[in-house]
Amino acid sequence: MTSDVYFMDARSDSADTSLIAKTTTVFDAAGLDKLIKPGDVVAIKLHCGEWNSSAYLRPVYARAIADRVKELGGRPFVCDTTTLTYSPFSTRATELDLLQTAERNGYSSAVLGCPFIVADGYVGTSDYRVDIPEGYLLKEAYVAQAIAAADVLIALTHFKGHGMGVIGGALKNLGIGAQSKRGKFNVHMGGHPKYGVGAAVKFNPDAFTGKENDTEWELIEEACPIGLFKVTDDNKIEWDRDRCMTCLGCLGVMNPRGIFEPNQMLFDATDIAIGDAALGVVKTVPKVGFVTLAIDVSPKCDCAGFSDMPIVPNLGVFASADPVAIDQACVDAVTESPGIPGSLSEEMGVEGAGERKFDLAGAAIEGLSEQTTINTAVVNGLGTRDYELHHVEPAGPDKFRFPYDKRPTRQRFARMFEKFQPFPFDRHDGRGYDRLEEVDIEAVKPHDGPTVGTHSHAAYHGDGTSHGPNGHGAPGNQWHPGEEGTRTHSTTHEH
Amino acid sequence: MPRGQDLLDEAIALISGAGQNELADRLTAQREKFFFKSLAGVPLANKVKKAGTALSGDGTDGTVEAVEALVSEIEDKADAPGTVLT
Repeated sequence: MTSDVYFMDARSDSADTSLIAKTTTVFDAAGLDKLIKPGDVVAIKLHCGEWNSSAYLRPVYARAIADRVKELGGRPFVCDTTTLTYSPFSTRATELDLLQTAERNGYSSAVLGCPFIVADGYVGTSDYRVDIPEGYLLKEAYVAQAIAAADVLIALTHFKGHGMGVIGGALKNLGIGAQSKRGKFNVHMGGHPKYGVGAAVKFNPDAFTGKENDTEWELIEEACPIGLFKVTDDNKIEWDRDRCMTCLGCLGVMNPRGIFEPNQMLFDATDIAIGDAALGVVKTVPKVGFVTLAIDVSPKCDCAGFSDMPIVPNLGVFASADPVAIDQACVDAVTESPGIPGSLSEEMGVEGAGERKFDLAGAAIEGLSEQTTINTAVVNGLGTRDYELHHVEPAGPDKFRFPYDKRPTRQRFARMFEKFQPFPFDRHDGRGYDRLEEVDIEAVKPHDGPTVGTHSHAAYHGDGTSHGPNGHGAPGNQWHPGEEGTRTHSTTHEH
Repeated sequence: MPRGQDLLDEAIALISGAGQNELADRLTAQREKFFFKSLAGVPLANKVKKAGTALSGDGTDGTVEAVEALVSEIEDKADAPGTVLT
């Protein structure tokens, strides 16, 4: 079996080759438009980004899909789900936190042209349980309620690396992103007798250096939402590991101190579970389609509170009905691409075209595989790694004109300009503005600096202050970019 | 073998082959630390391998100094007790 994947690269030189236009062009080329019937409620699932991350998808891509859904008669909403409390200071673990993070990152109904919904409710317990007997490891999944209730799901995915998942693609957008918080505990092996944090992690309490030496020791107790850690008066750490839910909130506190030693089985098992949970979503929603942008391919996912520089150049936009094939196509494209100089791909020594990038530049620990989730989703029957890549042609510029007023210029502006003329024809003999007749243009083009000296009458001296005939106190001086003394950048470049 | 240790071994061989045995020994002393058994040590191992390649190419003062600087940086960082997960 071979699946079809539709692709447009990241180059652009016209409206119809913009990445925004390409997003809807591949959407239609893959036949995802045909999934949507008038009246269908359409969930557009994406990652809205963490607080202080910056490589997540710009909201305009979701807006473009939402507008297309509305054109087709559908009723779209954009959504994300609450996270586990995976750090002591998480920013998306409740609906309130998530909405405030999403809004800061640009995701609001005003921007999207449709509601932004937290799909699994305030705490993350609004969900739909689905049996997945085909699962390789999981036998049930908990799909976020708003997604489970939709008629159509469009997984709009930013392709990138991920410390635990190794890759963040369409499968992870479903297998983690479309699960409720309850479902995320399931996928992360919470309570699992072999793979869960409580069972798998090697606990080295002797690595704790004591309250006197560890100024942030209280975080050891505060990182657990149900209080499973206790630091005793004689500097011993007690951990009730049997009750651990695998929320991951303590890993960032314990691992750097050497108190926990990461266990590869936990990571591998989670990557397998992602592939199974993704199947649960596809079994739950009647119609599902996938659009993935492989741009700003940061190594550590949008769920980190930062975004490292991309490891490869922008690659393009993909669409498919098969989440396995689309992820494999993205992995292959990243493998085939040269890495970006100075990025983590170069630091890890995998910058060459043809080298697998994510096993080292995405994964948080060694030994993980960018294929684990994909292969699991082959085994459980969700899709295939074999695909045919169709290069889609641009749809033409007419389709992507400003939709609110499609009239050409004179029809739109002639009457307006008659009433509110913005060009001052009445000044300087109709030329409008006070400017020199001619200057030596070539004198300011050399790369090693201008070939003419600074004019003694120059109004602006490049230091935030104005002097001369149009300087301070002179009529008409409007230039006020900032006050002296406010600059903090101290690097000097002399040429 | 972990990638960090693998790259470090290549660096040690290059540096030793260039006659800089003292620097090679200093790196060997770091080899078994957790830093090089985790991905955290890979970037520095990769850098010192590249510097070792340059050293074995010409052996000038500049390339020796580059290796020395990286060996010192490794000695400063390799004692981290654990690893940061993101």
